[in-house]
Amino acid sequence: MIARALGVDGEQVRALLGVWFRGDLRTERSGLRSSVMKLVLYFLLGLALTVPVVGSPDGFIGATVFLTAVALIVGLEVLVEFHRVVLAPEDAEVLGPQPVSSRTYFFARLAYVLAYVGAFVTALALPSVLAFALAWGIDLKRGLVAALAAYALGLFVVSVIASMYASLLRRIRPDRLRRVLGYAQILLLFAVYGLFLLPSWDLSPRPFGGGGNTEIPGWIYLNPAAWFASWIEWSRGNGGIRTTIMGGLALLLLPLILVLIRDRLSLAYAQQLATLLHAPSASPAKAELFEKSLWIGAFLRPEHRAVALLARAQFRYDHKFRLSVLAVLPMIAVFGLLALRLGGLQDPFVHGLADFDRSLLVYLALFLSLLPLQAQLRESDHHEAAWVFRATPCDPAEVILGMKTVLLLSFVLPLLLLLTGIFAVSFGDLWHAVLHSTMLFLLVHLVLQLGYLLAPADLPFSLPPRSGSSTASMLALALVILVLILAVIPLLVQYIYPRGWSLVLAFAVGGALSWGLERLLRRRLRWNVRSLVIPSAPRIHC
Amino acid sequence: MFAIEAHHLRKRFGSKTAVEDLSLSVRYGEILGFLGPNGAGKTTTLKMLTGLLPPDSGEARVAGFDVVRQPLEVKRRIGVVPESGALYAHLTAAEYLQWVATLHRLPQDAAEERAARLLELFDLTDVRHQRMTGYSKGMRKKVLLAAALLPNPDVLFLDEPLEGLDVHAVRVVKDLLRQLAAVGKTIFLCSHILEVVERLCTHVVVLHRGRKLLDRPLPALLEELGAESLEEAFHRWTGTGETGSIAQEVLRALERP
Repeated sequence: MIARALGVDGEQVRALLGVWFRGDLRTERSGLRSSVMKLVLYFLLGLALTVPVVGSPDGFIGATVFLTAVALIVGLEVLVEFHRVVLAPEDAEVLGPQPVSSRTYFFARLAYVLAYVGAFVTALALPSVLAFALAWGIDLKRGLVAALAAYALGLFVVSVIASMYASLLRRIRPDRLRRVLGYAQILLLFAVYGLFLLPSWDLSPRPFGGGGNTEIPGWIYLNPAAWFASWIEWSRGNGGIRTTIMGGLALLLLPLILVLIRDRLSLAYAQQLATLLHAPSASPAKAELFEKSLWIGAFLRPEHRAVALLARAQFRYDHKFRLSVLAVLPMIAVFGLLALRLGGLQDPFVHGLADFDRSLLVYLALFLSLLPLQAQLRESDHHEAAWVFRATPCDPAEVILGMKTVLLLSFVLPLLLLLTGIFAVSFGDLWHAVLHSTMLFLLVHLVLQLGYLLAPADLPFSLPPRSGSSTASMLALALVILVLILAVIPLLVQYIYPRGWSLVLAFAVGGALSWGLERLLRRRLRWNVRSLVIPSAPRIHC
Repeated sequence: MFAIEAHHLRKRFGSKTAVEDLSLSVRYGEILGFLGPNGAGKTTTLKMLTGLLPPDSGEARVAGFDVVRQPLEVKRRIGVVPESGALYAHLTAAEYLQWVATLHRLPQDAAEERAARLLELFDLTDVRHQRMTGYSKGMRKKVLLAAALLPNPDVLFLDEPLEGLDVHAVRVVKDLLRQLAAVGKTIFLCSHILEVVERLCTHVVVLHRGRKLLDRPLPALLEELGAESLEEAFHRWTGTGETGSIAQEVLRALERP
């Protein structure tokens, strides 16, 4: 009845929502398991957000930090999944010829966006909302207002991004925009990690709103999240003039949201996006000659070079792959900064295990970053193109080993060079820094070898994203890494590092172990990949 | 009364002109072959005529309705098979057809019966409950053809409808199009398979670089040009006839060490 009064075809809205939700639950990337996992992850992230809520020196600052995190995370999610959550360009092509009115499409899309954003804002905000409602005595009104503020801000972020998206596409080439967005997402990740890891939060109980001693800086009101946080201040009857103005501004934003998205959730806009996305680039990407690259020369075997070339091309042109690789950097940076905040790194050759709690963070960042990277090299949206490995006369075992070499030379080596610099500055001894980094390189290589020994023999970029086929092997490798960091490294530092001869012996044993593992790995891969080889194919270099 | 009428249609994308001053008309019961080399503006024209893309200027009417002012009336009377083959592949073929029937507000019983018949016609009955992500290109094209036919439209817009189909399906579609035209349905057919156009179409329009090059009934056209086949005539019009020397060039390049 209401739908008809609004000029909306309710039956069509139900049909459209049914198709989109089914798409969410059925596709490889987003399936039911993946969606539930994502909600659990957001809930855990939400638990971490209660730290600034409860521990900030002032209730308003805590609320602002919490809502800023919500805005950043919603922004991140929407940027990553824009074409699925907000507007799918393929809608124009599939729905364009169907008799669906613009208004019906708008309402269906709006309902979908609300459901999607609502679900993950709920998971993210629930712990903090409960904290607002219960941490300073039971106050359900405060909790409810905090929830409303989180939903309204989430929707505001979506509408701003939606309204800017096509304008950006018009000014920036799609490939460049994707690149820019990728970096924006990395910055957002930095901000999200940094938000609740870097500042010092005092978790001792205090009255909500602090003792009135906290001076709230004026610049905080430049952040729209602070405007919505003013609602929470209102809810406890603490409405100063500044809070009233800012809270009023946030209220004014609500109709603006509808205005912003009215024209954006439309088939015409979807068509516009599709046209902009498929428009040919004005200036084609610079093509570098494979043979001329110095970096590529480091890969000695042709199969390894082929994998390196593919990985480099994927990194350049596959937005998701690049993001998944770059997403490791904030973790490393934040762990590194935390180590510095705890007092910096000390020379293990001089101080032994004195600062192991700080170094532990750096080792964790270095070793654990290998897990997602190892998985990412196996997965791609273009996984069907991996047939080429089976149709060319390459050695599939060497192709798989090529992934390990790519990880080692393109990721571990540059990272360890950077770490050597940091060690050199922290230790005040370049030689010790080089020795320690070399030992870490040897250990990382052993971990990678074990990783490929444990993992299924999959060719590079040959699996659909998030196929989960290697979850068990990743868990096993994570255990190996934890044992290595918590047992092997302390043993090395405590008993091997103090004596020169024992260090040389350790390098020799490590090298021999690595050599043996490489042989074992090659043999195991050759055995496992027999089914991938075309029987009559001659063995020649590709 | 024309099923499709277009007057001075024009569409530009930035500085590139996709379609310029295009006028055409197609009668009910006619099969129009809409031809042109890649990038000639065929798909853009089809999008404008089906209400997917607004023209910059000019006007068009399909089944008696203005495509810009009355797009829903137009869409209730047309069936479209896009060249891209875009569909929601996470659905099964049966679900997709049911969904299209809902959007067209077809009575459920009639829609189910029609969908079952169409799936049978295109040999998809056994796989109708499988998700289309596992379908071949030809199978997806069959589903799109079935979806386009499901609402029993007055006008069919088909962009490369035979691409990817097996021999049997091609024959089924060709027979079907002839019979649909015989009962008064209009078919707007974009295809690169000139042999099919020659056998099926009653009228041909050739587009080149966004402009209409020719618009004639097919038999008159062949007679006028003195060409033995549509393929020969097409290469003459578009100046793409010399392919022997290109093939020689490729062979020479392959022989170089």
